[in-house]
Amino acid sequence: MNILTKNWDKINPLDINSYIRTGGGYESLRKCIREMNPAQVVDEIEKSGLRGRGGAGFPTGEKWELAANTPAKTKYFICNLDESEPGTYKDRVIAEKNPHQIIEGLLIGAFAVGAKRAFIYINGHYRKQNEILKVALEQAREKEFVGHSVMGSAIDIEIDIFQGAGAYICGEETALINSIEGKRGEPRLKPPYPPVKGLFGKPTVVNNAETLANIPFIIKRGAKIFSQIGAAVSPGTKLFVLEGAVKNRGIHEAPLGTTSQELIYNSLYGGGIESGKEFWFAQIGGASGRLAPAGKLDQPLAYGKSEYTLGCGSIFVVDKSANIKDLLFSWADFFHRESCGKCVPCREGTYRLWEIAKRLKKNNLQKKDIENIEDILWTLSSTTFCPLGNFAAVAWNDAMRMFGREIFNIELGESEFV
Amino acid sequence: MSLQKILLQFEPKPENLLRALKAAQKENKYIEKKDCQEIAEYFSVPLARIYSFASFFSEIRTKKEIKKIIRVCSGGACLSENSAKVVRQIELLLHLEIGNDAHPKYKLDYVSCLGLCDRGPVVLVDDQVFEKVKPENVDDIIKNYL
Amino acid sequence: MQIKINNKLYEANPDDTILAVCRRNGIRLPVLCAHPDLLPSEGVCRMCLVESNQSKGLVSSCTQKACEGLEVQTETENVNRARKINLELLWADHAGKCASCKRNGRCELQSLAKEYDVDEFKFVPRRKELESGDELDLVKDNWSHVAIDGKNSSIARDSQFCVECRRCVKICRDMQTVEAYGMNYRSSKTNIGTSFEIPLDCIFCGQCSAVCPTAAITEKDDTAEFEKALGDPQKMVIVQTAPSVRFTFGEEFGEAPGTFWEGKLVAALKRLGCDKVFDTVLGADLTIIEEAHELIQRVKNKGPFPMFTSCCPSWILYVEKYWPEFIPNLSSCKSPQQMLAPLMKTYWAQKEKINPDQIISVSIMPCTSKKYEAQRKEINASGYRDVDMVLTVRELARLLRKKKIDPRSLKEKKFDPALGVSTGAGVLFAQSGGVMEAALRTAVENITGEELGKVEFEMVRGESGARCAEIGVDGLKLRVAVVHEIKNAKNLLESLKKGESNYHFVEVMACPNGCIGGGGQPVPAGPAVRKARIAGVLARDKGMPIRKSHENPVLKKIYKEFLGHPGSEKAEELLHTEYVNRKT
Repeated sequence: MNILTKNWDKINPLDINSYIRTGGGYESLRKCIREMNPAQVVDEIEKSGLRGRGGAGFPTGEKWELAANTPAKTKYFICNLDESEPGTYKDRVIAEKNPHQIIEGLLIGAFAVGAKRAFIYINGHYRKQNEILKVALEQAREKEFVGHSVMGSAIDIEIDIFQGAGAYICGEETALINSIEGKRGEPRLKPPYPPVKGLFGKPTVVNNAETLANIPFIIKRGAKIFSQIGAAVSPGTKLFVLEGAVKNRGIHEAPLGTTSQELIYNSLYGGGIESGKEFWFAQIGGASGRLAPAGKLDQPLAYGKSEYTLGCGSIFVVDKSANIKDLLFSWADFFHRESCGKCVPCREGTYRLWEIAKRLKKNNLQKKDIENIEDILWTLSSTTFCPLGNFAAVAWNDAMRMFGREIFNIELGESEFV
Repeated sequence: MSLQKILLQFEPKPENLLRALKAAQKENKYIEKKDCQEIAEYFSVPLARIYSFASFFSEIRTKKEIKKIIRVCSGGACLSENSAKVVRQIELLLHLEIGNDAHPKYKLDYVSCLGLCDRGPVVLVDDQVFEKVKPENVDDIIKNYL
Repeated sequence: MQIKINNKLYEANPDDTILAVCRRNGIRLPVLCAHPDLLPSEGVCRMCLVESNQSKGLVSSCTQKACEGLEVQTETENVNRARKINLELLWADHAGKCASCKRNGRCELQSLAKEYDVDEFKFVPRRKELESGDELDLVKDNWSHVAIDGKNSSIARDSQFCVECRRCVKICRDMQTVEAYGMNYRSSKTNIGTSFEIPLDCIFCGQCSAVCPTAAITEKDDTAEFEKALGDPQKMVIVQTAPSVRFTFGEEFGEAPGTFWEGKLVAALKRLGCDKVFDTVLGADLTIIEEAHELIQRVKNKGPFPMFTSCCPSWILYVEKYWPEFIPNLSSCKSPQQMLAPLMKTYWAQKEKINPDQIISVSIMPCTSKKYEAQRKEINASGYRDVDMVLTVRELARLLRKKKIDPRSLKEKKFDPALGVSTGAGVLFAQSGGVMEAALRTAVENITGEELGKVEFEMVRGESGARCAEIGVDGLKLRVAVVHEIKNAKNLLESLKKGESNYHFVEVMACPNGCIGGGGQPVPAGPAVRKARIAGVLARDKGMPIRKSHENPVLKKIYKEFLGHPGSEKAEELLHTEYVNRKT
């Protein structure tokens, strides 16, 4: 069942009327403004069981309720389109193909929590998509969906686009908020959580673009129908991004709960491994994702407690011809560059890991390096200020456990990788 | 356009600081000290805070770059499309090593994922984006765009 | 409420962090970024991590608040592993030049490394462990963003020693509102420094050097110059010591804060080879006489009000750089250091028939800012440079240790009396409110013509950042205020500008609680240490035979023989100065 991508080939992203005509665009917004009150909207989203699609999978309704119930004259709603996780570009594609889906979801969200100002925080590299969104916003404004007196009601909702400037950490909600406030994109202490105290100290909801793109469907067809799609604990569909050694690379919408086995091999989705290549492992969730070997592909991918967290939904299939040392360097290089530099273990740990990865790539590894890797990965997993440190250690931890022996060609002894 | 004119497009509110910096950068490719001082005055914020903010982001430049910068995406998806071979080709043609700042005219480095994984390998020459780059395209890109 | 730490129960308030409770109860927790003057902490250094029953992983005790049912363990295997790896990572990024480092033996990172057995550069390959190309790469990467600044007279910076704890950024921004530093760049290149790496150009209060845990920011070292002067047989080294120094000097040698160590201080200086040791407190008394006279003149002429004290060079710089419109309000009096110094090279040199050329005038001060003050163009009046060099308490202590001179084993000595007799009022200069109180003792007696019954003016004492009082003097309601820390001075200036407040006389000190909290004082300090120092100052004032500046017998002689009267032409020439608009 396709919720998000349903009418993508029929909709012209630069013409709001095609969105309105095809599949009833902006009808959900109308329903909210004319027939429902904010509390009912929040309730509907809660009942739907929708969870954040950015990676953390936090129940969206709960977030909205927290913000709605925090008394404040000013509230903010932010769409997180920063999308800097390597291996994923699903939000980019939503903005390219159907920007109004995001805008409508954003408007409904702002209405539900009582925010008069909303931002779309978009990745600084997404210039074309920024232009498309600008046009879409203008057209939405002309139709009085955005701005003063939405659809003739007493509700004002202003949307501004805010472009990022090259920082993965700004995808984290508190770092994102900091960068809008003109501060360095460093994460903040939580609690207080943004729905209680966020942008400029006011209640703020930060939702991923794909999460918002689901909102119009939920309002139109109802929470019950949505909650019956996909997995019980995390309903709905997901835009999975298949890259690497699969036949059909790209975006595939599938119900949550689909296994990576299905996604990779089913002809509906990945269509199997590229001919001439042999499956080695799949990294699920971008550069911060775990490595799933052939025996672990049968786990349903959904949000909630699972051995292989789905994250942003990117599935990177690696075949046996890949150079694991290059991959290890790629991961270490990314997290080293993107560390914000605030806390010691991440700033120094990712740096030392990067140096080790450089030596590893050149086959110049020292015995001390092998001992140090364990300590660095442990400290990144356990002592950092924010989850970026944990992310930096995930892939390496799995790689050490699964291929450590091969990589180092020596006995590892009693080392235990977490 | 003079910096003053650029700044007047924005109200001196905190959410406009990054926008102002990006707009100021468009003119000269980088924001130098006196520009930062003007921006600091306009937003009523100490200079140290502006520089601290500006120097945080990868895409904001506060120093004049004399060398031409080539950046290749280091992400896994681009890697699976042989971005490593593209890097090697650039290294060979320009006689330099990636990450090493030794060459007088060019600097080759990695860049974080730009979200173009379906069109990789991705190469940036200064700020121009090249998609689906193969080792055999490198020669052409270097000749025409460097 | 009660919380459990290491299986014992302790009292805690809802706003307490785990670290605060531990500190109160003597439970040891290592920190690098937390500081009692810089609350709330941000959990940046990750040294203070502990295990708690409220979360799955380790939490930073400096940010985690106490809650009902909280149970904390501070010495588990994981906690210790975290501390050790953290230190090893920091050590790998550190210059490791302990033997020649200014903070050797008194460095927070070094102490922690000792405590947790970190002794090797675990994360940095040793020389010859790598192929030559890679080795160069490594050195280049490590130090690609080093900021070294030795361009100003007061504060030296070297970011090779920096652990990025951010204390300096916070204190300069929050306590002093100057914000000269910022966190710059990102990732491993993160560096604390000025924008565009320009040389430091602030008010030089040195608070950054007082909170820095390592040698990244230190007072500019003038000990080599001092040693050279001491070793020069042609020169006479004449030293003066600030009021507050005698109460803090002992801390460098294990004494409790506030211990009165005047005798040991003089003895140590004499042992180093100083020819004469005079007392800046005499200069303070002199400042009071001139300043009280100036205040009374302003009262007669109805302005300009308020009159601001001018003995704090950081405060002067602050006005000159940010609020030049208030320059006419500053007292024209020099600081005690700068009043005593020209007298040394004129009045005293003449009396002793010494060629002033031969004199090297040195002052031992609690602050880095005095180094700046000594080289101001406008300050010299003797025909020579009045103060040739300034050493902070820390530098003096360092020099004594280097020369293996332990003041504890020296017999106490007295100041040389020619310029060494002082009063309790002058001693009060050491702490915030002291200048005001000393000035009031003299001014009130001058205005009323009657002897003061009680010399204490408790209403201007205290530890709060801004205090004010109204004192009735012969029908005149004298409105005075005392502020310390520039953020409080800024608030006062803003309210004056808006016309919201109205004072005759205001004392401003840039450092917390005045000079006893100075940027060059022994570290670590904090509110508790400063409180003890203040207690020492007040006790000394109480115990002194003469407690009013104008009763200082040596000063009476100097006026009679040399200066004439307060505000005379000679006094104006030697003891008063002018200020410059330095706003950019």
